[in-house]
Amino acid sequence: MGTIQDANPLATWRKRLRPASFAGATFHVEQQSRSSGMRVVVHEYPKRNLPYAEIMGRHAIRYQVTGYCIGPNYHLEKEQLLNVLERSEAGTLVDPYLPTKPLQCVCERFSVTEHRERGGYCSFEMSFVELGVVGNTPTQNTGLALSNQAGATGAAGVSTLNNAAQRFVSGITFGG
Amino acid sequence: MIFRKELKEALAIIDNMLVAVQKGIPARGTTGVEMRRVIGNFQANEVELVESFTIGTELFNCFEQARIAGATLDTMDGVREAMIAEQPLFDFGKAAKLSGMLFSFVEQCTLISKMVFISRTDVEAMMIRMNKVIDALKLEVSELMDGMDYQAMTKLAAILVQHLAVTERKLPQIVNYTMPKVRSALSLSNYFYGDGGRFVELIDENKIINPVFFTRDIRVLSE
Repeated sequence: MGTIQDANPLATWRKRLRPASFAGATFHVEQQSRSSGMRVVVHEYPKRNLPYAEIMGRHAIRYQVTGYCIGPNYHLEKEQLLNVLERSEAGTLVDPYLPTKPLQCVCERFSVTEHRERGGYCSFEMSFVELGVVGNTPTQNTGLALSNQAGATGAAGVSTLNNAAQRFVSGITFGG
Repeated sequence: MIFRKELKEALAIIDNMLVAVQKGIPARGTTGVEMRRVIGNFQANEVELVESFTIGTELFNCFEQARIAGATLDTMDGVREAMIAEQPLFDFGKAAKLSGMLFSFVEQCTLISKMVFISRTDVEAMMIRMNKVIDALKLEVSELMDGMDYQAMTKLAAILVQHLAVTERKLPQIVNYTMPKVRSALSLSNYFYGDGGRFVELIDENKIINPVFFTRDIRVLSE
């Protein structure tokens, strides 16, 4: 039996298609959308026609996927997918249309729907957001910085008192 | 004559300072033996230290030894309060007062830099406490200080606040719970943390005498 990739040998995009999956749990895709873009602050100045759109970095990549599981063992696929969607970990999302760039994602929300009239089939609505990396992690050893500055401030106090002693002794010497 | 008065005033302030520094540290025994030696030496040679312009260095050494011997934040609060009570008339005395207040703050910061905090509540309490200290310092000694000293003090205060803020961010919060019935420390540890091994934390946090009968109103960590 042929696959959709064999339908038209000239359509190279078909050859690139790969099974969709999240954290290793596969599903079929009915439709999907990927969104991102730049975070922009638009500066518009009084008495000037030209604005300035300041780029402040990229928006997180988001996927909105309508997928489904089908077949005599659809319930097993469904359970596997539910398990990975409900765990508190990120997973690799394979976009069937962009399989060369799998993305570490977190499922923000999902719903699964089953119909009495459609046995052996369930559909998923899933929202994924890019995991990215942890930001603003304090790497500075503030305890050490505090200890060092305490030493520096202590030294300032020391020189204050030593200088006062010097002024006092000089006063005696010169003042008689 | 006036010089003798000035010296007497400054040394009296320093002696009061050293009495306050030693509070809470055992006056005999092996603990604090180095501190007592350093302070004894200092008091025996005060005038020579003034003449050699090294009185500041040796006084700071006394504070350092007191900290190593076990002086606490409260001890240093005592030093600062003793210094606030002093009203020197001469410059040397004013410098001694300023140094005492500065040294007590420095030692408090060094103590805090080595402290291990358990919860955000602990850090918040420390922040409130130290903010009062910083305010008192600014109020009392800012007019006695020159620009460099003031800058060193404010920089230390800023790094202290930053250290506490960064430390706080990494810690779990304290949550108050009222249990429906009295339970043992082990069962509560398992109930809250999913780990019976953390019962000692609960006992310490709630100052429980008999761990079998925990009070119903308890404080636990959020993580």
